[in-house]
Amino acid sequence: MDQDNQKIVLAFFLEKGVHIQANEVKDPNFIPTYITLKWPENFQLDSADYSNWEEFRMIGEDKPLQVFSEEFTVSFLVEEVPSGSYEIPGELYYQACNAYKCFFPRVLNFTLKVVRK
Amino acid sequence: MIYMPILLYGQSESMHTEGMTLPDFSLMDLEGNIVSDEDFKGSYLVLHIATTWCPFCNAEAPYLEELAQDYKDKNVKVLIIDVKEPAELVQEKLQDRFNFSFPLILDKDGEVAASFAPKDVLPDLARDEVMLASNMLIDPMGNIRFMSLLDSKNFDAKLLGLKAKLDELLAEE
Repeated sequence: MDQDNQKIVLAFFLEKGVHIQANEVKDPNFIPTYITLKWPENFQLDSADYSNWEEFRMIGEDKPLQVFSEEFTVSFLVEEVPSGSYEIPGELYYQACNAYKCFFPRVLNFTLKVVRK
Repeated sequence: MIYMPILLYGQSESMHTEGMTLPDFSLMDLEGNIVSDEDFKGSYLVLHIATTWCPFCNAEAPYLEELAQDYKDKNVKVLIIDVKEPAELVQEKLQDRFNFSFPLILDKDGEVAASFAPKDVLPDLARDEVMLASNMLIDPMGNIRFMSLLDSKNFDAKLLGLKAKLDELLAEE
């Protein structure tokens, strides 16, 4: 947690060669990455802010994909987080491809630990 | 920091298809009609395995329809097998968008798609997943004469490789 700027930042790392659709996609058929967390009721946070996506160009196609690769972050601007230690369940819904495969959409389950002194 | 466990595998696009034949299948299309492998005996069949969300499948879609139109008088049929998606979604996202003149059939559990997967290709991946965005050409006797799996570094949205093989086979007749 970034105390100075009052943010909670989650960093995700992908294996080399893998990309996932970004949180914003141009084509309505594509599945955007989406994060959900079960924040405690007394948390006051802004909505998720995803890091910048990059373009992935399919050979022979004019329209590039908007993707995350290698590393991306999701940040939440904190308005109020009471002191305490919290374990917050979360899910990242994503659809990945590499050079040779596109994978069915998947959910990454995780637990975010937040300690506010 | 959260590490996403997605594994990377590689393979070449072109496949050796000697001895490979069209597997048996019987699946429902978007109108509720049953479509089976028997319906394509005696014709060339261009087969694509897809999902609505697959970027490469979407890029290829208009070229599949173009192929269907260009070859319709040459005893060539086209078919899309959609994997693990409801009919309503496939209707909206694929049929209504691309206005295909050929059938889309629904492989609800992925078993038919999986039946096409070569055993020695990406063995650690689910068989139906291996076949997403693949293209095949089957001859009138049911032999698979061309199979391409996804290769984004050599992506052939316009189906040039498949059409070259199709033209070669048609010329032999």
